[in-house]
Amino acid sequence: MSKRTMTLNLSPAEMDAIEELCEKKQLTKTALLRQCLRLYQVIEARIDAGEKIFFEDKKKAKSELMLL
Amino acid sequence: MRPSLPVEVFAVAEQKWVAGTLFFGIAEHNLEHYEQKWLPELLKRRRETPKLLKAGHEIAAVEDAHWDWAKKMLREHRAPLGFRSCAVEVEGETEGLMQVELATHRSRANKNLNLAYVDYISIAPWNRPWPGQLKRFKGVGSILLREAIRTSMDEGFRGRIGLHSLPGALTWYRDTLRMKAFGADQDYQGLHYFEFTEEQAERFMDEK
Amino acid sequence: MKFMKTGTPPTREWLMKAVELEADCDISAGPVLPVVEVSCPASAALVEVKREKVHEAFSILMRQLRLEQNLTVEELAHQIEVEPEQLHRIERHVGFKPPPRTLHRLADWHRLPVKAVIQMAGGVKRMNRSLEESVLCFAAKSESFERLNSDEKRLLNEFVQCLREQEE
Repeated sequence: MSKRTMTLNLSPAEMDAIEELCEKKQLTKTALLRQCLRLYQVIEARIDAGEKIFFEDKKKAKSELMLL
Repeated sequence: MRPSLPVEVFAVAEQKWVAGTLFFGIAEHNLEHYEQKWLPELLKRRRETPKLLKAGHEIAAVEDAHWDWAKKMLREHRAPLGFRSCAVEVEGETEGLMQVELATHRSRANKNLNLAYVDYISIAPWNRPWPGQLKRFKGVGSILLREAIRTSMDEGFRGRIGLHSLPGALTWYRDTLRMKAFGADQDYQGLHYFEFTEEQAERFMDEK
Repeated sequence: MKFMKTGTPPTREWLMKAVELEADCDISAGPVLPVVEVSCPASAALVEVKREKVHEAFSILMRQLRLEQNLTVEELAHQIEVEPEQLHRIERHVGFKPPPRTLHRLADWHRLPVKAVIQMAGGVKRMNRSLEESVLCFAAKSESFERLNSDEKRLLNEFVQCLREQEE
């Protein structure tokens, strides 16, 4: 399948966030956005299938991530 | 048509290389082969295990007879960006299957970095060691592992992969490939967790 | 297909080295299920995967047919006298099962056999095999875009023609 190109309009703060994440994760901007999309899709699919997402703190206490 | 790459595997009895194909994506007939051809043999071997152990054979238990491929394929269908699966076929038979997860795993060597997590990798029972039987083909597992590393490179993870080895495969991952070992993972059925670092992956892929 | 690989196959030299390394090792990795017999056969998943694909194809078809007529969801809803929210949910593919009345209205409006529309929308468990094959083929080639290019229009027309040829 051929690749498609998309132009994004982002605020300076959003661009900064991308730059920071790219550096932290050692990814190119394209690789980072693909990773974001992948994670988003996996989470949505699991929520749609009726699963819940939890965060666990250091004391092993769980709190549900509410996706409204 | 599934995209594919031509590969070769080594036929042990005939002592020759034969042509095979690495397909991207697991198809319906691969699951049928698993169910109708692999599973009966895996379950038979599982039944034979205690007797063979008693007779002094050093064999690992057949642990993957119960992998829920059904569930694996469904989750990939629902979130196709998060997974890469592939199958090795030789002469129309399924010889190896693998599913790699890309969305949610991080490297344990460096928590900031993502990696390609080999969720499941399995070869047909007749390609595994078993007393009194020659492996039919060698090389299938290596081809699949190479593909996991290539996927990691394609996605910008620089070849980093992680996996939980089944007890029978510990020798390969720990001693032969010398992957970075993180010990038994109590959150994961006590299976040993291993990673290939970028450098190790590069060495494994080295064609020279 | 969701992606295309462009990698190179392993060389014979690399494979020879790999085979030597493999020796008599096993390579299996992944979690094990603590059960004695397999409860859910792999083929059961295929039925479910197919069902979801058919449902997805139905969403795309409904969206493409509406776009081809240059109608908004609201305009079409008004024409066929159903709630716009129902059409939104059908097109968004959220596993929504529309009521039979809506399916009848949609089938009439688009001049499609009601039976095929109901089957695609998940109203029956077993689908006519030839219909299933055409639907899965359409689903594999189509995507949900704002505008249809000439190839997509041709694909849509061929699929609609095939649906209309299904026995009522």
